[in-house]
Amino acid sequence: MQRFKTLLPCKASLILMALCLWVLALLPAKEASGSIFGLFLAGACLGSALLVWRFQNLKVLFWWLFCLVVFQGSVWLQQPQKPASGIYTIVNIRNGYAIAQNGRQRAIVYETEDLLLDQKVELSGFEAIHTQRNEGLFCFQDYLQANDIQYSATQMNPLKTSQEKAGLNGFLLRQKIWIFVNSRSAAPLYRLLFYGLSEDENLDWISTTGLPLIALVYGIRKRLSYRVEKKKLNWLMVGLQLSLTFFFPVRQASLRLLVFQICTALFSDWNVRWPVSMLAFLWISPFGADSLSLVLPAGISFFSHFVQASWQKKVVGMLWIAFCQMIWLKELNLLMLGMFLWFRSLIGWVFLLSIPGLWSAPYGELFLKLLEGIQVSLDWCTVYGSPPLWYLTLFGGLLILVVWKWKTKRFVLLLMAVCIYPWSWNLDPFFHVFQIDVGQGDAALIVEPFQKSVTMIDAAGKMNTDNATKLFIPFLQRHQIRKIDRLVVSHGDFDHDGAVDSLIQNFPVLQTIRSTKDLDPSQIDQTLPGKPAKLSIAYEFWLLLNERESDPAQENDQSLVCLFQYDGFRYLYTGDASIAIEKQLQKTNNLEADVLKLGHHGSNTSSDPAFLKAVHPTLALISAGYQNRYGHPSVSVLETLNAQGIDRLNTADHGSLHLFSMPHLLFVTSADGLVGWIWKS
Amino acid sequence: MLQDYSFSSESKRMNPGGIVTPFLEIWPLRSDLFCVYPSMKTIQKAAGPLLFLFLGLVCMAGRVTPMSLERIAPDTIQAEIKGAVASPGVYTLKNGATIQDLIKQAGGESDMADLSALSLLEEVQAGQVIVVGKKNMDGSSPRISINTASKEELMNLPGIGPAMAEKIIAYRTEHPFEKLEDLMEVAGIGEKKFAALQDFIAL
Repeated sequence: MQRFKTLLPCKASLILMALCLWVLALLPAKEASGSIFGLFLAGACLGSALLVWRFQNLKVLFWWLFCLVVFQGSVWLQQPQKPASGIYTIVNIRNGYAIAQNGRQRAIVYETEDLLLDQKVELSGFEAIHTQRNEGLFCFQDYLQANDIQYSATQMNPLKTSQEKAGLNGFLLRQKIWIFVNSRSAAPLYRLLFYGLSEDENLDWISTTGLPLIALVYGIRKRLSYRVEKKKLNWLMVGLQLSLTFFFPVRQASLRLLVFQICTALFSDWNVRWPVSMLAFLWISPFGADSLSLVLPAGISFFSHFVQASWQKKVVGMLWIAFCQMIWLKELNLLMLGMFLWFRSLIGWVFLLSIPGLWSAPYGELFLKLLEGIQVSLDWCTVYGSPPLWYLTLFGGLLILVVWKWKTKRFVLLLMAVCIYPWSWNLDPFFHVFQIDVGQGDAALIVEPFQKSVTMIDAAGKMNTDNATKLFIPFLQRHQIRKIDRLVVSHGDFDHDGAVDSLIQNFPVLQTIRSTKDLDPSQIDQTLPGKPAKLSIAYEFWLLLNERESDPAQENDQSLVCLFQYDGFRYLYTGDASIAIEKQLQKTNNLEADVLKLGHHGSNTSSDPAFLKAVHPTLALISAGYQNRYGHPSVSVLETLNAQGIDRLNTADHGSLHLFSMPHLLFVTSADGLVGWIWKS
Repeated sequence: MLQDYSFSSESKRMNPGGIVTPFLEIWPLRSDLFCVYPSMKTIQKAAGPLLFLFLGLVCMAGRVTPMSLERIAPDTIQAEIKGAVASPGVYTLKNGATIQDLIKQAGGESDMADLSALSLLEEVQAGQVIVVGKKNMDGSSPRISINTASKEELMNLPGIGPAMAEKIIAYRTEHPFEKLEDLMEVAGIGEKKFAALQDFIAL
């Protein structure tokens, strides 16, 4: 027995192995490409080097390889497959869509009326899911991809086979409970409590701490801990959570809770419990390494273990919650920081109190009305911002230093770092140009270093939604932009100025420029050809060709043409101007630029070869919608770009584009992870 | 604290500097270089966190895709030439070559070739088809020159009446036509009309 025990890895090595495997699991293993596998091998070698350096025996290497093999095996077993027509089971029903699964194939369906959990449906006609992708904002496509879903089914046939004969009774239980909950009169409340489906905005506050069912579990655990001895309690909770996986759809948060609970029941020593629960979760759900439901609790447990005093533990826990909020939620909710546990136990109580309403209809309805009446908005205690990478590195580094060895000086520095969070973008020394993904339309944001000035070119509108309050203002908030100094509206088409009025109403916009009439006459240079106007900003920003020959009926030809320069890079935005206007521009101005936003979304009514030759940009930006009905960008323009050697980035393919420059160096990133740079001496 | 963390004596069973001490004996550090070079002990201590940092970088690098923004125009393009040339067909030219170069590559124009509709120094675009027409039997060009034709000759063109012909003459006295497409600058001749008479005109 003793010899067997020496074969096991020592506790310190377990922790290091769990950490290394977690970092390795952050690789996007779902893209089963050669380069990812190469990076995985490199990471495995680095991990082995690290373990050998620290522990200097080969036993630890063997266990590390074992972890890797099991992990890779799990990845291989759970590699998502492209869905094919067939019979699927509905495993989860969310707001507006349902998730259907058949082995490794997963897809979503959009018609959810009359759908039941664990119902079998026949799906066909799969098309790839594509939604707008803006950095700093929630992207539905990315959220689904994190859940292994990339396709939606356009044709669905619910099967009417007798389900009573089907398989295990346990799985039919889920359907029966779903039917039961939905048949209650206060169904919206119970759907929110049991399944997390929020339809009523007034009740949204109930799900701020996550799934209310989990809050109930924690609440029950707390109540029972006063009566039941710890060991028995742990196993009781394991039993409870295991049974919940039979009654309700399995989500990552509940899976994580179950794994951690089992490890708590099995091991009392934190040094074994934490790494084993991490390893077990990563083995079971290898693609969940970057989910908030894992990182938040595991991080709190990890970091608070290494500080001594109980107040230090609480503070470190809160700082980790702040860090996670900044990265995943892109905002900092001060209430959730300090009162997370209290709030969660409150939700647990709300849940418990609502249970009688499942059987007594008037009680349920009364309770629902009561809760709807409590208008709780957590906006006042939320600080928005998706901080830049340097800030997150600073914060993370300081946190690790503080936990490595607690020193008051380091702690004070960390607190100061937290305090500068609302102004983290104001400390940014780069010049930014954002091309926002608005679908078929245009919107560009130009931010000077340290946010000295903010200019916006065009604010596209969208049918059915208000782009200003749903897209632009959240985008501005996440980048901590508090006012727009000037909004240049190139021309009056809906896909360029649709959201301007709403934006002006809901956000401080200091100046709106629709034509040169909105400018001070002194800004227009009457001597130069075309009468360009220079805006009153510290850097060169010109509106070109204000005197042009054009047909007044053609709105596109009235577009304002913007040419601005910073850090030695020139940017040209022509709006929707047609070839005729481009010809006039060539005659009146030197159009050389590094970045050109293709006119009229890349259509062949603009961008003729002579114009592109005159501009000869290094990079062309195209702002068009995915599968737009106009065929933007047109093939002839793309061929001209190819012939002239111009790289291009399309918001339809890559989401929002972010260009940030320092003198001589321009970085180009896209929302889907492309990174490039342009060096100009 | 994470720093003085040790659970079992196993990790300390071997001398932590076991691998490195012999190396130290071979290369004793000079005390006057301490401020310049990090000591072996510092490197040893830093190796772990550095390895962890590299591991983190490798994995985060897997999440970004580097792209190259150094596309350059291709060196060569392909274009087709048809009609009255020695060897009509598809040729590979240098990017920036003119129609003249393409005709030369096709063996030169044949005897009855009519070059009046072509601007010889115009750059050939990738995938362009150049058609070299034939002169009439008597040596005159079958096409009507928009730069030199009289009003009656211009009225022979489809879709051009007396008023239109006068407009063309009025326009060309100020701006001579340098390309066939310049005809569209005349008010009243749009894309459709131009497409209809494109094959009948020359410069």
